[in-house]
Amino acid sequence: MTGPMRPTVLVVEDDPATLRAVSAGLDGHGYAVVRAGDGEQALRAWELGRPDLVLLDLGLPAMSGLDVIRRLRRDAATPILILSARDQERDKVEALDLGADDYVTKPFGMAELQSRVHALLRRSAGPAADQGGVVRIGDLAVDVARHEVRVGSKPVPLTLREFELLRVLVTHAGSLVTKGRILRAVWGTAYAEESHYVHVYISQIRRKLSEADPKGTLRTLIVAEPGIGYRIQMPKA
Amino acid sequence: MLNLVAPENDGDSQQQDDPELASENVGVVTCMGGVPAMRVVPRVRVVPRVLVVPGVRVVAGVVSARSVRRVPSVRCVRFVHGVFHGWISMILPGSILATRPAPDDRPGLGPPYDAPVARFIRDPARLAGILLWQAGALAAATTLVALLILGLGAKDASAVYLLAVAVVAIRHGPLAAAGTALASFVLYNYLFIEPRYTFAVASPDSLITLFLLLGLGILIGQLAGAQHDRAEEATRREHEASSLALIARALASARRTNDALPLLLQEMAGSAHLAAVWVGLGPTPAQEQTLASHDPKALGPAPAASHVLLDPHGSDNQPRWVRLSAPTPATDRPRRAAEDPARVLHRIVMAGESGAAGSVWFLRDLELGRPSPAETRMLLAAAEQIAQGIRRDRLAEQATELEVAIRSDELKTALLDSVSHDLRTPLASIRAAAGNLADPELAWSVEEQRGAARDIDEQAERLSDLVTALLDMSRIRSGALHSEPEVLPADDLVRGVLARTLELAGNRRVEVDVSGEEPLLWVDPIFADQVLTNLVENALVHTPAEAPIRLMTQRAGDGRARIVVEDGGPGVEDADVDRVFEPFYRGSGADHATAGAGLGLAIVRGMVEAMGGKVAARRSDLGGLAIELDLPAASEAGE
Repeated sequence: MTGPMRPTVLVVEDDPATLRAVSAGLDGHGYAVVRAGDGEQALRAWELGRPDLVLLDLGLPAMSGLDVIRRLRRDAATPILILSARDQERDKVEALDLGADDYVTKPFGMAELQSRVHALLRRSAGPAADQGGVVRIGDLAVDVARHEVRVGSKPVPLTLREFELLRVLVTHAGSLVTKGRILRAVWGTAYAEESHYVHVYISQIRRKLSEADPKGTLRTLIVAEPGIGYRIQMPKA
Repeated sequence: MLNLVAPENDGDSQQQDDPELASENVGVVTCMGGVPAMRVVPRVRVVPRVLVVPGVRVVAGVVSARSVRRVPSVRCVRFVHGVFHGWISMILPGSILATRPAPDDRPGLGPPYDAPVARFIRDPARLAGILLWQAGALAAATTLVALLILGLGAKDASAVYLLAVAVVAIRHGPLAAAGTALASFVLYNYLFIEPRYTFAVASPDSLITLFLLLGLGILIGQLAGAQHDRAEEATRREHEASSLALIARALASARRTNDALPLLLQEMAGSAHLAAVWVGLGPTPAQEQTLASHDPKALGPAPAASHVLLDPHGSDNQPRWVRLSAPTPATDRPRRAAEDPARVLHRIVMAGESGAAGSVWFLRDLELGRPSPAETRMLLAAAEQIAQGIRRDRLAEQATELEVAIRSDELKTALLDSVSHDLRTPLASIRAAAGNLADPELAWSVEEQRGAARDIDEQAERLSDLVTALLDMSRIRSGALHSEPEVLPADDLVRGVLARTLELAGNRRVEVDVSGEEPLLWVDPIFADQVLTNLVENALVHTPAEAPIRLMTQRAGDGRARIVVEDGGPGVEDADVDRVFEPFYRGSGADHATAGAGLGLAIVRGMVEAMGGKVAARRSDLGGLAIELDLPAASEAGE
């Protein structure tokens, strides 16, 4: 991934040692790294040159990580990866609800961090719909315009709600989508607390997909993050 | 004077002398009949001889034919200390006054304790007052009539007596007025109706006048007397209301019910004529503990065995007093000093959330009779107010306890969050740096690799310091910190600490003031060293590089020594000065990177206290924070 089009990563972290180590690791993997020690620095760096990804510590002095997310999400869908210590468990869900894409919990392994960063950057580059308006993930093809889902060449008969739910996950493939976000997108804001709907619909979708997928290539397509939500696992390219 | 005595010779009834019962049954017989003279019976000893019915503990007094003739209608008979307490309305010659069986020697509600005792009997002075008023009014009326008839030659001046009747009625009520009307009738007839000085009446005119006088007199007496009764009732109610208002105000303004009780009990005793009153808390009388008492005569709490209980709902929702019998037979019950036959023990139960919360007890003189309805209302309302106040206090206590528990829970959560953050942050950078070093894709120079290794080393040290501090803290918290004191010259301590912190101090100005006589500390040398090291490091790390530090040691007299560490840094907000010793406290301006875990001063306090010392913080005249240690010193001899 070297070359003139190096993706830029903005690292926002108030602990100098962690900031140093993370930046050095990303830099070594060919990313252009911009460092920020607090929320205000982060926003200034953001304005100067829109990064391709933001690595954001939640426990920042003064302006919190949550405020940074709110500000960034006002005008961009840039992937945001949260770094959180265990004591920000509730904040983590709130951050994801606000539109952050994924998280790693401190202390994290560098290899894990690298692979998450990699996955998010790949998603933001695709899996965009092709010219026909079809999103493909492995054998799965979701025709957003025609409301059709196929596995290979077999059609999958999804109800309207099931399709909407799958569409939300697919268009955020690679990101962790909280149950709250799914409920708001599919059922509306009034249903934001009815998380059992999501469990029921996800299991129906999984069942219908597996019926159309005798080889089982899509068995691990929809992965649950206990207590938080679901993500579409991008197949390793 | 009325005498109720047993017949001298009644051989046909099975009677025998029973000294125990005889003494037990000394009681009050109150007789109210239609004849006013009957009320002049303050207390009559009755039943020198008693009828013993086998299997039945009591018994009866027998009233002689002679006394019964003079008591055509006896409205009430009760034995206060005996077993019988009830009423009968008519006594015939030889009739047995009572044959109620003893209530099985079990405590329980006896018959009503409702004997209405004539106010007159309670209060002979009042009776004398009425007689005096009657006599005065009649004398004045007679004089005036004599003037009118004998002096001015008026034919009929009987109406003047109506004036006397009205005056007595207004002053003393309808009964006194009726008496006056009757007396007027007699006087007028005797003195002024022809033939005079006889009760004979010559002309029918005079007869009409005379009976008009009697009839009108009684009527006016009734009307004016009713007015008088209403006024009296109004006065009573006003008194009752003002008592209750006073009680309610005292309770409302007191922070705790207990604070208001002395005043409240005093007011109850005053307005309901109680000899002593006290409040006990507990589910049963035996378990009650006295909360407060008003006992001007020092009567002391009476045994709760036998008493008169207020049944708040009584009959028709009118509160009434009910005698509660003693649980043990009278013969077995030891006579207690406090059991004073001249006073009756009363109890009002205070309701709690479940069952009784306690009681209001009071002693009242026997001759005052039971409390009047107005007094009863007041006492009941006061008891309810006290019960409410106690319930309110309990709720407030529970609320406070809950609040403390919640706050301590919140504090624990905050501490845990803080610790987890402080532990994870260095771990995160260690893992990140180590991960980089292990990453085959990173083509790092030797210098870059050394940098990462240094980071790992520094962060591991930071982690290790934190773990040590946490372990110290938990030892302090669990009380596992044992000081082993030795004599330690303050100078040794200060020099040792300064030598080790020299590097941190850099070019900073460090003043050491040991000008006074050098104290010999009596402390654990390891604790003392850590305490002073923490304080000096704290002062060096959390202040700008140019800020001065000052260290001072001095004797403080009385076997104490003082060590003060001051800095010229930004200090802390005045409001926060006392919080600096709390675990995980960090100054508001502290930035994450340089601040420690916020345990340093908490550990200082724990160790100083373990050594029998004290520590305090204040603003220093250098501008920053001054921490003062007050430590035990060795005696002059040096032990």
